[in-house]
Amino acid sequence: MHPPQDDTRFIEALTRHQPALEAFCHAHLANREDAREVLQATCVKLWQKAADWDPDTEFLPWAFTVARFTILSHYRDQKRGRLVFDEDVIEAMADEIEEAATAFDNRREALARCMKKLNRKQAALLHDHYTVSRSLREIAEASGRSLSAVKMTLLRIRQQLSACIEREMRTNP
Amino acid sequence: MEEQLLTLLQKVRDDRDEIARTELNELLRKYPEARTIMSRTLVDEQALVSHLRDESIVSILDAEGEVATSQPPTSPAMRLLAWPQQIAVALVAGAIVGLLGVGVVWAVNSPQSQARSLHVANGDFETFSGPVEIGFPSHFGGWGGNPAEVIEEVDGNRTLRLLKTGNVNGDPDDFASNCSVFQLVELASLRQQWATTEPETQITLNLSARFRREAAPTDAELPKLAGSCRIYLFNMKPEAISEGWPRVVREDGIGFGKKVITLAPGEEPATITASCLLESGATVALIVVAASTSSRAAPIDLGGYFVDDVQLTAIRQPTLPVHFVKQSTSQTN
Repeated sequence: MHPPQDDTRFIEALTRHQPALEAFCHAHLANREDAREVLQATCVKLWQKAADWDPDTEFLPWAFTVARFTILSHYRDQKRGRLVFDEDVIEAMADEIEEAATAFDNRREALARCMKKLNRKQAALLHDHYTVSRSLREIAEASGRSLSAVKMTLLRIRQQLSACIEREMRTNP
Repeated sequence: MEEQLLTLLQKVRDDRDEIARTELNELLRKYPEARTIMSRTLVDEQALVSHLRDESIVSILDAEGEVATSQPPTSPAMRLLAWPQQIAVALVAGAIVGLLGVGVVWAVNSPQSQARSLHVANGDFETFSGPVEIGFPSHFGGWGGNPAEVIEEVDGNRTLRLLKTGNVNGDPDDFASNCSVFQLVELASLRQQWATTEPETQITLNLSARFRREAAPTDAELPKLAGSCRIYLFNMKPEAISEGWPRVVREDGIGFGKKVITLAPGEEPATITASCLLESGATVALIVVAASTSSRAAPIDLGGYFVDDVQLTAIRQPTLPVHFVKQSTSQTN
């Protein structure tokens, strides 16, 4: 049984770092549904292993280790058709993913600044696709544009945001 | 490389393209740079989802008026909670409910403004491309005016390009100082939805549009080129407004709002908003987006003047304790 004080610190740490953990899962799987499923399973495991975490050490590196095992376990249960990356590629990307996910809060703040530079139509496309979860085909049909035009628009917005985030990270690290 | 990776990722996820999947994995195996880009791209994608999710929740709260007494959050206000966050949240829920209760009572009892978008046909220029009909429109639901066209840009976005100054006579050699594109918007549906005769409310119409100017060969001849949004209100039939333009403004106009912007070639795009009070008798709003040269000369090519995202919004709010003695024009330059 953990002392209540440690429980509180664990919940605080998990709550604070859950977005970074979700990003970590998403970067390994490149699939939002799978990432959320793995995040849930990871949270349960972290809770079960809460006694292993020393509150005087950083939470994220420990949580990433637990998440990595959960991801690989999930990965092996999936059919190949659902997966984006091969297992060896996931392992090769591990360090880069951990580095990017560790900086999640800073990257998210940078992204928030970059979002202000988008025009209304660009923001609406992102909202429809990522918040309302409309497929690009549905968006194309609703707007009377070709699917390839919508895909190209989304690609350009993503590139614009990526370039902006990198600039922001260099100037406001 | 980033574009190649994003394109392949899109093909794998949207089309289940096995060839793209193989190629993507090969690139990631072979190039450390590709792994860095892909890791950041996917972490940033999750940041985007998280940001949009928070924005969406905050906007719902704003709409409900529950945040009327609080400052806008500077960091994520709420997230879709997963266990065990729900445990932590439950511990403080009682206290928060008590505090919000005060806010709700305040919101319900306090006068609130309401906003409603009015339909501007092809206001974002996405449903039609090609030349805009030449001449003043005589009916609702379409753009018309001086030479202009809707073009599709490299990124797939469609936008209005103002091509050339013109004049109301349509004579290509006559004097012309601006390129204006017009649309007539009917206000009857707004009147059905909102009882505009209520003595204690007033309605403001806001016309906004995004202006962009790119460098063009004729820039030296256009030192004072300015963009503008204008609204005119009438209690007339569209055909009569069309027949009487522009004299009808002076003789029959019952409301007017204007906003002007001067952009240098290549300057950052800007959104401007013109406002005017909705007079109780107004049945038609004439909206105009234009680029003006400030000099009357033979028609001239504008080159790179673009307008996008034209929106007309009605705002209803309680009447302020102010007595208007003259019609408001809300003009700002």
